[in-house]
Amino acid sequence: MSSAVEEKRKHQKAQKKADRDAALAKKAELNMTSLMDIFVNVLIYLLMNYSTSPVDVPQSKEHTLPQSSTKLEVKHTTTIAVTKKIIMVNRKKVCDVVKNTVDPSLKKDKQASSYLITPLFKELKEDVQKQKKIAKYNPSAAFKGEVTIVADQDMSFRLLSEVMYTAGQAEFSKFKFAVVKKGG
Amino acid sequence: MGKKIRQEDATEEINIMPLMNIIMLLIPFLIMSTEFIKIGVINVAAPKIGGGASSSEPKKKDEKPPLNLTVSITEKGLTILTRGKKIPEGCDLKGEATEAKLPTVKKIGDKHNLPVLKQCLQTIKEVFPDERRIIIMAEPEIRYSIIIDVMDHSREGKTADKDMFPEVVLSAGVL
Repeated sequence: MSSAVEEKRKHQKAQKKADRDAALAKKAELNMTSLMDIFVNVLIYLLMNYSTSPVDVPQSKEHTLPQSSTKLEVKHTTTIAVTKKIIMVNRKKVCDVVKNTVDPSLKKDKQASSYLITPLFKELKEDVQKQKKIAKYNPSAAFKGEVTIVADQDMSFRLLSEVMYTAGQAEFSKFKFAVVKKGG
Repeated sequence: MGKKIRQEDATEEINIMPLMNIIMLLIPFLIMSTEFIKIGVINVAAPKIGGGASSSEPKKKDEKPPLNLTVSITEKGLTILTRGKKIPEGCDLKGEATEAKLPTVKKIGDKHNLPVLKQCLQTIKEVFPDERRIIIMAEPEIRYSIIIDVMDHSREGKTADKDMFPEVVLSAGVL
């Protein structure tokens, strides 16, 4: 008698389990269409903001660009980046900056009053020579003497003049200051 | 007799998993190359000290003497000069600039009074509509962002499409 009850109970249990499994199987089938819709929207948004700017600016605490209402677009030129700590030419570090000044030992004649930053000048000169060499064989890539300065907003005018003077000595004559565009 | 296609077969969902995979790969790639901030540039000519070995472009000889409009940024405020002559406070173009009336645009608290500078430059622009060049000087300690702000305010005219003084020349030292 008891075994018959046991049998029945077992059977009921198995039945219940089967039902549950079936329900689970139905639930597990995700509706992919809505997820697809989300992704397609994200994709469109990202494509619209796709960056074509030739200067990529890593923004950090040491390197915050000032804001401006300019409408001019960035062009592909040599870049000098001045952060609170270092100066880079084409993303290559050339010298350190401490409290808005370059160490006098890196300047011409080792004088603090000098405007010429020697390592920066050397690097820029190399770049100019490279560009001129290219221009020799490819007239469409003529050397225009353009340089983009990507500088931190707290840089002093003194350091800016030093960088511009050094670039001027390396035959760069047209300066472009990179800024963050206001209002989109 | 052709086979009858059952209705259920026709409405069966297509397999979108491969498409999903492609999108999943595209998204990280696009995120990496997305610009969340828009970068622009301001064209600036070299300061006089940075003439360098090649000043390639021959300078045009103007018939009129140049205006030499200059804005000098100091810790005290902004001084506007035309043809080497300082303009007194209140932007009176013909007024005499005495010590008490300088700088042209005084600071308000810690900040430079840029709207007043803009008004004064607009007055100058009305008198000299052909001028497009502005020389900006600053003391060595002046911050870069202030210089950019001054450039902004001297470039934008009354209307957004008309520029006042878009040709900026930086010059070292102050007058």
